[in-house]
Amino acid sequence: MTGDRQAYDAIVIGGGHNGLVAAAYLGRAGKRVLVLEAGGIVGGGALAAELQHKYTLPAVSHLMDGLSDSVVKDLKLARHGFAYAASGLPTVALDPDGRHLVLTGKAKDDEAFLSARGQDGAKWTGFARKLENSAAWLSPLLNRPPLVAASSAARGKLMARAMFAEASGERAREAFLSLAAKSISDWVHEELEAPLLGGLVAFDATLGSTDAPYDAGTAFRLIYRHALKAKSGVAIPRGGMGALAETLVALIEGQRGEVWAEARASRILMDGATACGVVLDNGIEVSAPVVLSGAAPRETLLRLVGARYLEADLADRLSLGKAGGATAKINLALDGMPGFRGLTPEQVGGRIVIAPSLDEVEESALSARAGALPLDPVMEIVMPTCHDAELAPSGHHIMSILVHQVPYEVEGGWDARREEFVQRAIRTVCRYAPDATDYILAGEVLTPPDLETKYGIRGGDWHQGGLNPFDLLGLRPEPELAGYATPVSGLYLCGAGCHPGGGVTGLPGKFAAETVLEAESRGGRA
Amino acid sequence: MSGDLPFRRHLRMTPLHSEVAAESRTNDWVERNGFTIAGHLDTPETEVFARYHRATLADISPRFRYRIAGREAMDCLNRLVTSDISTLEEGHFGPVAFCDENGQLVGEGELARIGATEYRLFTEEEVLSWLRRNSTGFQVHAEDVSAESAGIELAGPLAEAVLEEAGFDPVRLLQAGHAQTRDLMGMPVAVLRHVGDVFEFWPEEDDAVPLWRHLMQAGREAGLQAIGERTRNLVRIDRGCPRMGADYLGALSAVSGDHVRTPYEMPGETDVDFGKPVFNGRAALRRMAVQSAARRIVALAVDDARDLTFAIVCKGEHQVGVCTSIAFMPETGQYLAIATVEAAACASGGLTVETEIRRELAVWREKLPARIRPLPAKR
Repeated sequence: MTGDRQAYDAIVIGGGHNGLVAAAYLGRAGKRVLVLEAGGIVGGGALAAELQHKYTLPAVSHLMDGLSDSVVKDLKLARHGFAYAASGLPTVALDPDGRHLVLTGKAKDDEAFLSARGQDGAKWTGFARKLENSAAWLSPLLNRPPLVAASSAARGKLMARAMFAEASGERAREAFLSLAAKSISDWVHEELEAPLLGGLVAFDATLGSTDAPYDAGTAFRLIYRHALKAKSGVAIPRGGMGALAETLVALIEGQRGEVWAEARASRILMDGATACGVVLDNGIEVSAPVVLSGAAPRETLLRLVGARYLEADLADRLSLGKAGGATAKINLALDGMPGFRGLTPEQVGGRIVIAPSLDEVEESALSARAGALPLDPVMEIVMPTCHDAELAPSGHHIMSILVHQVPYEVEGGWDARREEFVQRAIRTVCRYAPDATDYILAGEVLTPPDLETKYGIRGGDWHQGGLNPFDLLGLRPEPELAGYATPVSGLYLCGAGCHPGGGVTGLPGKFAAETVLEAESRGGRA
Repeated sequence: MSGDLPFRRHLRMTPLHSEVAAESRTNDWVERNGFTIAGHLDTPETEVFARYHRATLADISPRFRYRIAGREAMDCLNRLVTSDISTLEEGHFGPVAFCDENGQLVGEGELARIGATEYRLFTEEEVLSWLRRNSTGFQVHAEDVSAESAGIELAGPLAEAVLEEAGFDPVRLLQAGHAQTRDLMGMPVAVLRHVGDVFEFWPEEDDAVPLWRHLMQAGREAGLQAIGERTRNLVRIDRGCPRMGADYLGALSAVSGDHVRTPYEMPGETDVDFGKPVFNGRAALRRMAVQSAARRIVALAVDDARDLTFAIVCKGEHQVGVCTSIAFMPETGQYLAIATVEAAACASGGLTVETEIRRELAVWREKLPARIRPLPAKR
C-alpha cells in the first residue's frame, strides 16, 4: 500500500466527510485519488467510534440534517448502501414541569400542538414562516460555490450584488435583511412568549459556537442552519454516524482511489511556489499535481505550506483567526431504556433538547466565556438505538449527548474538572429521566480540547470558522481563498473552513472538487 | 503640572546637533521623524549654490535603519519587496519598494547587502512592525538599529575633492551603488555612494562628531557648506523623487485609499519582478500591470520667480491634480514641484497651476503655465 513517491492525480489531506466527498467527486471524474487521514478512522466530525467492541457510538456529531441532496444524488450514495435509519425526526424540547413540546417541523401540526397547550401556537407559526422565508432566500447562495472577487473594489460590488440582486424574492430578501444582523434574543422577544420555545430557538441558533443568544448575528445563524437543511430533515444514518464515511471510502476504493488511515501530513511538498505532493510525518513522500486539504485553512496554509509561500497580509490574517469551539460530547452505553417522564417511546427517538429558556442558554454562554462550567448545562440528546438496534447489544441503548456552551479552557484545568462536568451533565439528564444513572454501563466524554487532539478538530471548533455573514460566502475563510483555490498553485481547500461552512453537508468538498476539475478543463491549474 | 503627559511630544536631538547648531546663522529648525533638524543653516541661495557647484555636508541621522539578518534573510526580503534582490551582491545597495496585498506602497527605501545573510534597509518612514510581520515563517530577525549610528551626507561636484583632502581615498574610489564599511581615522564607518557624487557616512553614534569636524575642516578649501533639510528637499524635488508622507501616504498609515500609490503611479520605473513566484502584492500588481494607471506622480516646473504659492493643477477650467511638494529653485529662478496628476491630462501639455501672487500687501490670483519635467536618472 505504501511506497515512496507514488504518483496520484490528486491527494486529499484529511479524511473528514468533506475530504472524502471531494475525493469521490474527483474519482468519479476518473482521477486516481489518495486520501490521507491522520487518525485511525475516517469521517472527521461524522464518524463512529467503538465502545467495548459492542457499541457503535456517534463519536462526534450525532445527527445529520444538512447532507446535501445534490451530493447524495451525484455520488449515488443510496446505490452504494447509504441510507437513513430514521429521518424527519421530531424535536422534543423538555420542560422541567413535564409540559414538553414536540415539534415536527410541519406548520399545521406544530401550531395545533402548541395551541392545545397554550404555548404560542399562532406566534410560532409566524416565527417559523419568517425563518422559512429567510432561509429560502439564503439557501441558493449556500448551495453553490460563492462568487469570488479578487480585489477589494470588486469585493464591494460583489457584496452589494450578493446582498441585493441575487435574491430569489423581494419579500424573502426583506425578511432576511431585517433579521440578519439581529440577535436571536431580539427576534425571540419580538415574536414568542413561551420560554421553552425561546430556549429551543436560542439553543439552535448558537450551537457549535461560543456565541450567546444576546450576541448580534445569532439570528442569522439560525437562518443559516435552516437554509442548509436537507429534504430528509433531521436524520440518523443506518449503521451509525460513520456510515457516510464508510460508504464514501468504499466508493473511492471502487474508483481506484486509496484511503490511508494513520497517515498524518507533516507538510505539503512545494516545487517553487506550486504544491506538488505531501510529506507524511513518517517521512513518506507522495506526489500529485493537485493537493486538496480538508484541514482548517490556517493549519493548511501556515503549518503545512508555510507563511513564506503567502503574501504577508494573508499569512497575518490567518494567524490572527481564533478558533472558537464550545461543544463537548458525552457518549453513554446503557443496558436499558431510561424512562423520560412524559415522553412516548417514539418521542424519545427524536432530537431531545434541554434548554428550558433563552436566559438559561445565555447564562451558560456567559459562564463558558468566563471559563466556568455551566451549572445547568444546555444539551441535545439523541438515542440512535431507538432507530437502529444493531448499534448495541440487544436491549441495550446508546445515549449521545452534545453539551453546549462548554469552555475550551476551563478554570482549574480539564483534568481536574472532567468528572465534575460529567456529573453535572448527567444530573441534568436525570431531572427528566430519573432512572438514567441505573442503566449506565460505560461512557466517554470528549471536552473541546479532546475533540481537537482525538479528531483533529482545531480549537474544538466544529465549523472551522465563524458562521456570521462576514465569515461566509465569498469571504470564507478569506477573500482570496474563498474560491477553494489558494494562492499556492495546485493547492485547494475542501473543508468546512470554506463556503458554505460547517455541518455535515459535503458541500465544501463537492465545490472544491468541481473547482479542481474546472481548472483542469480550462487547461491550467488555478 | 509636572511629569510627562502621554500626548506630549519629545523632539530628540541627533548626535550631530551641537555641530550643526554651531553652523547655523538662521536658527531655523524643522522636525523630522521625531528629531530636531536644521531647516536652513544659511541663506537658501548660499546653500543651493554650494550643493550644485561646490560641496555640502548635511545631518541625515533621522532616516530609519533596519538590520535584517538570519539564514533566510534573502528569502524574507525577496517576499517583502517587488524587485528581485537575489542578484544584489555583498557590498552593494539598491532602491527597493514594498507593497501590501493590494499592491499599494507600504514603504520605499534602499537595501544594502552587508554580508551573505545580513542586510540594512534605509527608509524615510518607520516600517519595523511591517518587517516583523513579514518575518513570520522565516529564520530571520529584523530590528531597528537607527539609534546605533548617525548619518552624514556629503554631496556636490567637489565632494570627491573634499574626500581627497580628508585623506579618505578608499571612499573617493568607491563606485556608485556600493555600500561598504571603511576604517576612517580608526573608526568603522558604513559608506554608501549614490549616483551623482552623493556619499552617505554612517559612523557609530560617538564617532559622528569627530567625523563631521574632520570633513568640515577638510572641505574648507573646496567651499564645503553645511546645509539643512530644506535644501535637501529642494534637491529631491529637482530630481523628481516623491517622498512617502509628503507626496503620498504609506498603505499602512493612509486612511483614504485616494492617498496611497501603486508602483505604477510612481515616476520612473519601479522594478516589479513577476519572475518571483511569491511577493507581497504580486496578485494585485499583476492585475494592474495590464491596465494603465489613472494618475501619475510627476515633476512640474513653473517658470516664474515672483513670490507665489500654489497647489492646484488645472487643465483648462478643470482641476486635474495637486502639487504635494513645492520649492523655489534660486539657480534657475523657477518653482519646482512634485504633483499627482490624472494620467490622461499628462499627455498633451497645457497644464496650469492656480497661484496666489503677493507683492508686499497686495495679493491676486493667476493661472500660470506648468510643464512636466523629464526626470534625471534615479540615484
